[in-house]
Amino acid sequence: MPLAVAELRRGRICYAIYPFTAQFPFELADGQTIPNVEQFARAFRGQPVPGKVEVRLRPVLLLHDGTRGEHEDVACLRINTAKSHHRSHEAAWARITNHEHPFFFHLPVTDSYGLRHESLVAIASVGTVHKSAILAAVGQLKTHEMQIVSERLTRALGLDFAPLIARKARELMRLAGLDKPPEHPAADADD
Amino acid sequence: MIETLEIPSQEVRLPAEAVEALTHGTPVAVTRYGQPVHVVLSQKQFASVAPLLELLNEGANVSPELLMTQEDIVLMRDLAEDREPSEAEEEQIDELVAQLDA
Repeated sequence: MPLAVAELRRGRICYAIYPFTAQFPFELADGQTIPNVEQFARAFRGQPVPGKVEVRLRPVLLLHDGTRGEHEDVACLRINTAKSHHRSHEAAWARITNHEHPFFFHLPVTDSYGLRHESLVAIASVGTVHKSAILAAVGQLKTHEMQIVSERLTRALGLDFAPLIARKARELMRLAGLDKPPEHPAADADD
Repeated sequence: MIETLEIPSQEVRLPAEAVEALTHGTPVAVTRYGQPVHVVLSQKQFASVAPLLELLNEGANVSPELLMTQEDIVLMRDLAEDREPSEAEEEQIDELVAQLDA
């Protein structure tokens, strides 16, 4: 593996092999084309099938540390280079560059990001890359930038953190000794 | 019901083209230094989006797809299908490979 495991930290920007999503009609490795998913299911049921899926070496943003050897895959978000046809979506692009768009995170050219061209993180493009498919780390997002990414990811995926937050709040109240009922509830009521 | 501030029409001066746009269902964006700061909607349009605004104000878990404009969806698809690396990317990959070879 070209990149040391210790380098695989949350917030790192790496070049990695990232696949395009499989879609139908789907071409198998033997050249046969399957027109739709129903036909695929009839033909192969749940068996693995060698097929043609495009992959590309591109920048990705690592979402969690991949520093433990047992975990082979690392969750990430796709990073796109900004091109003129992307900027032609003027209203959306203005929100992206003003850091107001909930589905993207803008990456201007800076030393810390390590990319040579204006880019953007596509928040809804959650994927995984195998550690062996990561070429190198080139940059990093700061802690507060990753917090913004996390907030946007939570919204984009519709994750419900209310039970988690409530549990944390109860735990903090317990530690602060605020979870006990009043010793003299009747006296409190009289107050 | 979402709270709105009501102002008599005599107290607001909208250009004729803005009034016509609103009549035809086109929202009017009021800009300052070229940046939109307010958007005026027709009553009919506001009524259709008010429930969503209420949910957002309450902090309810609104489906993210409801918050996306058609342009957002097109851009997202455009980015997902963008297969061509930029010249800058290819140069950077060449340099990374050269560093690994060194």
